[in-house]
Amino acid sequence: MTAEAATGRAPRDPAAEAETLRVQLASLRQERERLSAELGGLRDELTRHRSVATQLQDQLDAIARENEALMQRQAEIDEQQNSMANLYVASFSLHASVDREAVLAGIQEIVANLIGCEEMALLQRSDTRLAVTTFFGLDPAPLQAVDPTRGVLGQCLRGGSTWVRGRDEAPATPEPWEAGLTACIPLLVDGNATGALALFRLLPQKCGAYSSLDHEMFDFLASRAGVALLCADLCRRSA
Amino acid sequence: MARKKILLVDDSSTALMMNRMLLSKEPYDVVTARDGAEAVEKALSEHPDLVVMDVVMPRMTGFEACAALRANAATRTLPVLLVTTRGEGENVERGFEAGCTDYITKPVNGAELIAKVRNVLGTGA
Repeated sequence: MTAEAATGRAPRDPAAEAETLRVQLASLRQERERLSAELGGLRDELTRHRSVATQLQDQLDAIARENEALMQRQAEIDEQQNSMANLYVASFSLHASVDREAVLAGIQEIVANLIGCEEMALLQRSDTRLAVTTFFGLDPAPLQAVDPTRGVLGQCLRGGSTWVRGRDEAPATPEPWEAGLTACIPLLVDGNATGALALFRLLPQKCGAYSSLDHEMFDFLASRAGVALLCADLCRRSA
Repeated sequence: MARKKILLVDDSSTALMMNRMLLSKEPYDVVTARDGAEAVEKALSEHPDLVVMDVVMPRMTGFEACAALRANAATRTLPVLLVTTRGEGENVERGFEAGCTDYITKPVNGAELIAKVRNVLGTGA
């Protein structure tokens, strides 16, 4: 008994079966070609998408860089505005009056509120010596007999330039009273120092250092405070 | 929506002007007082949304004015930012005991002031 007979199936026609397989093979080849073409298309699409993604990422990076630059610029503008506001307010305080006491009070307010210094003395030339004309936060007694030719003060008055601890070199022989000095600002009138503003202890939150805004304020005080005091003196004399 | 109003309190005209200028960039209305007693009066009459107040002032200090605001039902919840010369623990603790919402130190940093004001009031209008 043949196998076909044993299983009850019709005997296979090898030629028909071969034909069926040939047709199937042809169909599979067609399918493979179609899928291969489709895969090629998908690969092209993937490449395009990758290219777009790269472009978008580049754009994103450029925007992030631009954003960072704008934030930096914004911070710079804010700082400039703060500086302008500081100088405007200081100028207003200094020149709001020609009354000598008001000018001195204005200088004190600038030093206390805008710079953040809690010990200050203003020394002005009186004949050949310097006299303390206003102060706060310290005992002025040791400053009443200072030698205007010696130490940081002498250097400041001779050179007409501001001295700041940590930024500028101190003279080899500073005076004993200058031990706590943190800044010395000449009061200039037409380039000649008519006195000096001596700043000592800073508020604790300033961590012992002056900021760039403070340095601008020193320049302002050096060029304007002496003139404001001179104007007040002239007004008083002419009254 | 109405603009938020800030009451600035300081006996120093320089500090008042500086703080007013710093806040002028923001959409807030600003009123001022020159000491703690005037601050309490203006808090009741002007109905500010925030008080930014110096500590050391004549007639009534910032601590006393803050405590007075907390004692009055009309101003009990009014936020108060104290401007202290010294940011040390004891001083800050005293401010919070008086009922302040927060504090900033002198010299006032513009960015810090605006950040703290925004934190209390939002961005303004």
